[in-house]
Amino acid sequence: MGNVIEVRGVSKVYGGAARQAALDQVSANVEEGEFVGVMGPSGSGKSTLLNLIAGLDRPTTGTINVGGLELAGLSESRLARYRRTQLGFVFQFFNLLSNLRALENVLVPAQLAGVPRRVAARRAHHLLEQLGIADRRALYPAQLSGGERQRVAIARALVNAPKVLLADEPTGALDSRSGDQVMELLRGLNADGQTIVLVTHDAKLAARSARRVLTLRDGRVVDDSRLDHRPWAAATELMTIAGGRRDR
Amino acid sequence: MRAVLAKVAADVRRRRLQTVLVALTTLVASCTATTSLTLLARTSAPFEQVFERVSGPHLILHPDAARVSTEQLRATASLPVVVAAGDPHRIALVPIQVGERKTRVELVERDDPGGRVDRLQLVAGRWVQGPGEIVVTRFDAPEAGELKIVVGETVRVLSRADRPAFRVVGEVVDVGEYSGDFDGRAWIRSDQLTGLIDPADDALGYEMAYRVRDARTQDGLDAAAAAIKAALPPGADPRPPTQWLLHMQGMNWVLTLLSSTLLAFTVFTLVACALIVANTIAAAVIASRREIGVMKAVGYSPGEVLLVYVGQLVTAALAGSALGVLLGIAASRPLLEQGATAKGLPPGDPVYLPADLGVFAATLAVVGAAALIPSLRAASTNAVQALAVGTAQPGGGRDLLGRSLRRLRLPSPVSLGVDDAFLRPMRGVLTITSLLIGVATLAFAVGIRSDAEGVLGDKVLMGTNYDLSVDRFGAYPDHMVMTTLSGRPEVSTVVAVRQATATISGLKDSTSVTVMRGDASRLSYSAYEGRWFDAPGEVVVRPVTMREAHLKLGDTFQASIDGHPVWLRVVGGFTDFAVYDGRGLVLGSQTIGALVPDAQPETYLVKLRSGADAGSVASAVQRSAPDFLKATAVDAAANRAALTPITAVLAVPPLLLVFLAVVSVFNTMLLNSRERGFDIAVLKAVGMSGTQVMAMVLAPAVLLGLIGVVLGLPAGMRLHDVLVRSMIETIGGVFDSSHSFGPVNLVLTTCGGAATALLGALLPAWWAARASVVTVLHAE
Repeated sequence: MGNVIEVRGVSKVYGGAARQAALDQVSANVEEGEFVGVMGPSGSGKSTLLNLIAGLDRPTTGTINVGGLELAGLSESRLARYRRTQLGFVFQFFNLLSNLRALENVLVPAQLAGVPRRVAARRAHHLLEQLGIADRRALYPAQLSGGERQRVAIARALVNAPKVLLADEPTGALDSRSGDQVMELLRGLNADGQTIVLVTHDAKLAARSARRVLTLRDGRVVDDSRLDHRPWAAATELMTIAGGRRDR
Repeated sequence: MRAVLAKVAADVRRRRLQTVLVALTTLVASCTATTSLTLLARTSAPFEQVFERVSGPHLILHPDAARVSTEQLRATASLPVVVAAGDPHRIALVPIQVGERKTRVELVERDDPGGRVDRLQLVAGRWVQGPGEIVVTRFDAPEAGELKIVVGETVRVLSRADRPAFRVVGEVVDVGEYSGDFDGRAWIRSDQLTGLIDPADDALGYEMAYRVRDARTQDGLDAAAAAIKAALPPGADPRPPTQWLLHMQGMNWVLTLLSSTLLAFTVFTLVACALIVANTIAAAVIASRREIGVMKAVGYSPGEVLLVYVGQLVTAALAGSALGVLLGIAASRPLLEQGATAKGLPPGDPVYLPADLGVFAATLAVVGAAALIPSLRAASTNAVQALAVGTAQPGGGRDLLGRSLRRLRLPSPVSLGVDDAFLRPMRGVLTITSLLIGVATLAFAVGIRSDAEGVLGDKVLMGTNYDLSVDRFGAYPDHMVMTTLSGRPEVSTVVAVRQATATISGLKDSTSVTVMRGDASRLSYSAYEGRWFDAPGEVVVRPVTMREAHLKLGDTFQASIDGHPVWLRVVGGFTDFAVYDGRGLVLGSQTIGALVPDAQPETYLVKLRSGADAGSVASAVQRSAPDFLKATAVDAAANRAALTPITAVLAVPPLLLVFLAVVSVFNTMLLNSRERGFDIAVLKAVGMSGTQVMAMVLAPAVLLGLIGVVLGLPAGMRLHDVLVRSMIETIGGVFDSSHSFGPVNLVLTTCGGAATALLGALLPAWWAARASVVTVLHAE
């Protein structure tokens, strides 16, 4: 399979006088259909990498290619179009629009992309059914549980059938049961061919879901491992990798 | 208290945009209020000061010398309504000439400039001491122009064929003089007047000046005049008395016209200021709920929290109001100078401390009051809840609106944004109210502009329906003037005009009559209702006389014109700017020509053929009889210029209020987009483009703008109708609003309202579109 994401020598430096590199010469690929976990401690550059792939921010140096699109050369409006058609984004805190009902939240990216109303509604209904929350579609976010809100957020991310689904700590604000359900969903989507990049600091979570894990530390990729498919073995392997690097 | 001041200072620095907005708003409000109040106070004050110093006359009666004696007049001084009275002086209206200049003056026999009432102030030369000497009113008003007469010049009286000469020995400031019929008063020693007048043309009368008990109200003056007239022989004084209130209005008629409008705009501006302040402080309280919790947790009392929030705005308002008052003073100066009717009076000082300090204090009070309720909310906030919840969440009031609007199937950015109009319902209402005021005043300004254009385009109202006016003086006969004029090939039409007086049953005072000879319709004279007269016995009537005499179209009534009874039928209503009180009759010479065959016109209105040069014709006519004719080409530009200050003063406050509406929308959209910053970032993260973000932020502004137009346009039209009608009726005119708001004006005002809202929302929308998604999401 070909690469759907290609990150080449990307650095991102923030700040004026006290310049600080959030990412330092990071290179990585993601193949179509892969489930890649991005791990690392707080401040390691995980979310920065995700934001750059999403086109929400621009790298200081280096290039990022997603689905054949060189992001560096795109205008703000082309980047917006790229986000609404090629990407789905799942946030840690759901980020649903509080004044819209569940179904309306899911419809937003489709409407922005100009998808015909009936087509968008059919897709949204289908996704909500697939995610098991069709009966909650008329409720506002405040009336949903945390797990339900994240499912709505996932449905919203998928409504335009994106090439890549980016998930930034999607279980971070959920209890363990809801978190497990969400991860089960993501695994199912991946099994159906959806490319997923998952940012997390939880080694067990990464091990249970991802087939490949990029580990970042201080803005650099310190490990890029394909994992054993058995979850516990993979988790042990990951913790060994993380601990080994820490000891160094 | 130091902790409060420190927090206020820190918040003023931190919330710079809020501080600037409040300062700017209070600046505009205090500037408008200062200008309005200064104009109102200072235009009447100089006159009143001089009037009191010289014991100016509240009433001047002009009884007929043939029907009353000086003893009878002196006896009226002891009437209960009279506080003081002057001596009776004989008067007559006579034409005079100084060099090439001619005019009519009220010539008064008076040996002493002092006395208990109407003391005359000599400002140059001395008082008359013998025959052949004359003292004149000081003509130094800009409009006096060529009429200016100075000490040492020779005045010739034209009412006698030998044109006797008088040497000007003094000039006085005359606060008692006012009439549309003559250009000033002049004084000579006693026992000379009888020999100067032409009994056929000029009547000899008395001038009797009074100060009365109730001089502050029109009713009081009317009652005093009636009591004095009742003490005189019947019919001794048919002329209306000269009243000082009318006199003062006459001196400041432009500002009298504007006073109610300026006061209304002052109130509107302060209300708009209060709305913006209330909106701003409410948003600040919402945004800093967590901070309020922290303040309370570290020991600020509710009162101190309240002071912190009120203090922030009052600090900004202090700077804005102080600067606004100074700007208001500066703006008043040219208007006062322009409005000063000199006639011996200086323009009012633009620094009028009671108004300036009052406006400063009132603006601060308005800001403080507007800030109070939101600040009380801050003071009463529960610290634990504030710390737990943080920013107060918007209420659910927009759900219904949002659902309704989404059903309209608008483009998604529009439907996502449009229900933000009432994200905070009270904020939306305050913004709509600001827009309502802005749109209403915009409609008012558009209406006034149409009215001004209508007046400027009306040749009769502007006195440009003829090209040349010729005044006849002395014994020069009417037929000679007509021969001169009809002999000029450039002359197309001549309408000869004579002024007479009439008494009408039911009216206590006589009224003026304009007698026209010639085809007045060729000079565009027309009636605002009914038709122009075209047969003997037909009359058109000015509106105030129509009202006071209870006349209507088709009525027939009896009048006595110059002592000759005549039946008249009302065929039309007529209005122009020739008189400021809206009183009088206009009729054809065929109606009374046979009754008064010797009466001759005084003025000839001349229409020239197309292409003729009015200036050269005027010069030629003047040269034909330089001692007896005064020919003047009509200066249309000068007439138009007379309206310029009115339209200019009326245009500025609406523009400032529209500006405040823009500020209000800017404020609301900025607060909304800041509160929805996180949602906007999420939307951008899921693919909303910058243009779509702008559309989303602009959509509620357009909705608010349209609501503002729907409510403000009829309000503005009504405001225009009420204020302009009262202004026009103040000077006895008739207001026709049918042309004020044509379809073009309505479309313009609607677009103006929407544009006001769009303009206010543009910058917040642009800022929202450019905001970094990563920064916003990271900040949350």
